[in-house]
Amino acid sequence: MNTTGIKRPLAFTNSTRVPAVPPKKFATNYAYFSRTNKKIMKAVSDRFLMWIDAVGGYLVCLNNQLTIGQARPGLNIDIPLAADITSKHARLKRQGKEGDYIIEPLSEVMVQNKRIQSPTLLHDGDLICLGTAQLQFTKPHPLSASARLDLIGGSRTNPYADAILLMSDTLIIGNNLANHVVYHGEDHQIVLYQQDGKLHYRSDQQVNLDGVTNQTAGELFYGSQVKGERISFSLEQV
Amino acid sequence: MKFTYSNGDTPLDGYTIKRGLGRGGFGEVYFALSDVGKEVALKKVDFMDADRGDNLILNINHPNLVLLYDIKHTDEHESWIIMEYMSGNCLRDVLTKHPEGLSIDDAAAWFFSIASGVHRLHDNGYVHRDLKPGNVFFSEGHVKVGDYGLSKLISYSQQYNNTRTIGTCRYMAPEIGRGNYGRQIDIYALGIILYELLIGDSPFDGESDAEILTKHLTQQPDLSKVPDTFRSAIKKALEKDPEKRYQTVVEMMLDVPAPNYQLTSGIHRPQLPEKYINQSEGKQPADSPPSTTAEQDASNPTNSIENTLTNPTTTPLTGSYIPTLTNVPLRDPVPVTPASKSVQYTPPLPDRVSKLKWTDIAIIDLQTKDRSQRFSELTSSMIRAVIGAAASTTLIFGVYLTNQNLTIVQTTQWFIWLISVIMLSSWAVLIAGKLWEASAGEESTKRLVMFSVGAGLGALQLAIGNFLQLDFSDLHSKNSYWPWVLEQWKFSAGGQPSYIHFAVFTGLLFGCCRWWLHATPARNSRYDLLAAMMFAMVAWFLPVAPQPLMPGIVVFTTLVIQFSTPNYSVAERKEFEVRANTWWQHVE
Repeated sequence: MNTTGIKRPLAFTNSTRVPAVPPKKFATNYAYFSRTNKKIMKAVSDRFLMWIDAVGGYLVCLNNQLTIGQARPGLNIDIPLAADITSKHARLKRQGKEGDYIIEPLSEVMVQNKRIQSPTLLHDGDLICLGTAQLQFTKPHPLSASARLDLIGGSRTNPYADAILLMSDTLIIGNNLANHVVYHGEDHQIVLYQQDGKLHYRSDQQVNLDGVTNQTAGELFYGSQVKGERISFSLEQV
Repeated sequence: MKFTYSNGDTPLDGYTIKRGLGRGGFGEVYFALSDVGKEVALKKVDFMDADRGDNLILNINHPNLVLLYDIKHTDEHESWIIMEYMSGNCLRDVLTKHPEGLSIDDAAAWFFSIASGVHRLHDNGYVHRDLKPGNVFFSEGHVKVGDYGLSKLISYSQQYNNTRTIGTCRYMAPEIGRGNYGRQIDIYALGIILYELLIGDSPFDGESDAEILTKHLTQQPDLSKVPDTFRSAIKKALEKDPEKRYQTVVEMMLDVPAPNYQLTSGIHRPQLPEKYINQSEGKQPADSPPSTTAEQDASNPTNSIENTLTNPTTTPLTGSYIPTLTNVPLRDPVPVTPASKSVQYTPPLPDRVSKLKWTDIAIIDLQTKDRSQRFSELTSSMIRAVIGAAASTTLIFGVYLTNQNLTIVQTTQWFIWLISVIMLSSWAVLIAGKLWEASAGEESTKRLVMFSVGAGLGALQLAIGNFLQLDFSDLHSKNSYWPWVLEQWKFSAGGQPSYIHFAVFTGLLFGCCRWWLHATPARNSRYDLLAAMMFAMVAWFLPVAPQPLMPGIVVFTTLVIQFSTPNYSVAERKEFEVRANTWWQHVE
């Protein structure tokens, strides 16, 4: 086989030959593969799903202005709810450095059980009712403008997510109740942040980023997988 | 917590893993979507006996039991249990958040739901064997018992290994150690769970498994903190002698006060055993009659804020009516169907960014090589390039230069110049190709680098020519076949090409053609004559002297480069092609 007389690279020899069809459990190498081939990595844009092992699945929205409406195919709604509501039921805006959240009703909207007619400022813990859907608004971290919408009483997003994260500058995953995503376990904090329109993460412990070990920071793409001893998550395009 | 599979994996045909949920007694549990978008929980069980499959357990339907959809075995010797996905917390999480225990009504509501599920199992002749808060789930108001029947499906030794973990033995009846037990062990576990629901702690706790097991065997539970109405039921359920315990779940339920469901944090009524309903009728009001929402609101303010946080279905702390899917009143006999507008589900298919070529996969393999290996490969390639250069120069002389009426001195000059030009050009490309063989893309950068390398090479070629006192007009065709090139670009006043001229146009020649692709093992065929011809065309269009010798030199340089770099064999290429196609299997 070796007719050239040139020493062949290791990968050519039979001993290290990779199986023709990779076992399915190595399919995760896909992420590693894409990271090494940046030309096919897709930068994260305005929305993505973040799946955190043993914690939950989250719909993360990056825009400052979001529409809430019924989940229907073909409609471009930022927060699609599987509920008996109109296709554009409300608009959510984030304003100012502090991150004031304002809800603008486009249909019947109640905040803290009061029907609102004009844009209304949301406060931590406010309960929002849009038709049959109920959402609870929280802004857990005092220093971050990011907020969280929890689905209450059988309301659900489509595609399914446990909560909606309205990410502004940073998003903190940790075991502190003031974090945007809280997990129960020993200390470990991962911060997602935006820089020059790109999504990055920072971890206080070394994690495996798309098959590359011992990373404490890096850029995240669609399909990126971060695996730590305590927190593991992956990003998916909506 | 680390999981074997992550988002996007398809270890089981037809299901795409979204995330890990947790680790149960028998293996990892994942949240997955089927191809059409059904949300399921997938439990991976290693070494399950395919023949042992007791299919009856799959067909028990009860609102307080987690539905089992199916069990599948894969070629990789994994068994997957496909079951209902429970979106809420398990009881373990709820108890962690309430270290002081739940309210009496919540505790009783959880208990009645669990007991109803366990009763159905007993009714069908099964023993749960692994009843614990981690196996009790909450989803949209329903409390469901999971992980049942697994011990039946898994051989005894496996079960023994898997269940002997810390935490599980807290719910183990004393007779389990003796190996002779029946459904009373579930009653015992129910007693411990009820105690834990009320107090927040388990009655028998200790540092080690052995300590806990000893307490199960010897110690009487301390029931002083337990509310009076529950005390006798827990005492009887926790009897050491299984004969003295309740013999059926219904007996135990009859001794536990029924909850007031309006005071619970959104827990729905269970499907109570018929026996319980019949026997409790005369005894006590099992439930107050279904109330209207107005009454519910009146009795609601006792709800604590913790409950609101714990259970997503909690009726929120409010003074007025909030319509939810569960409490919306029916105005007329026609049932209101929520979300009656058809909501079509579109599965979130990942973007197929581009079709993968086998070379993309080969690049990954090439990245595994270390520096010394690359260096030795490069050295041997360069030695081969010298041989190739000598051979091709001889060929050029044999075919072309013998007809040009050159003197001996001129022939020698041209021979040395040609051989060095071909050799140096191919070396430059070989080095670039070796450096870039493991990197894809960044084409513009590569072209720019190649342009500067080519510019340097062009200047070097002219310098060698000048050193050899070569007269370029010897071989350069006098016929001007570049009508688009200005006269002054061609040659300097003395009839020789200028350095700038040579540098710029050789640079363009290197920058226009992707030579480095011919110096990597990941190419389609060893020799690519078509590409060589294309490069020659570029050389012909560029005013690089001498013409028409230059296109010939380019063809031979390309062939020398291809000769010097070994490529992957057909078999290896096939392998990469298969891999390139299968990478996408799990996203399609």
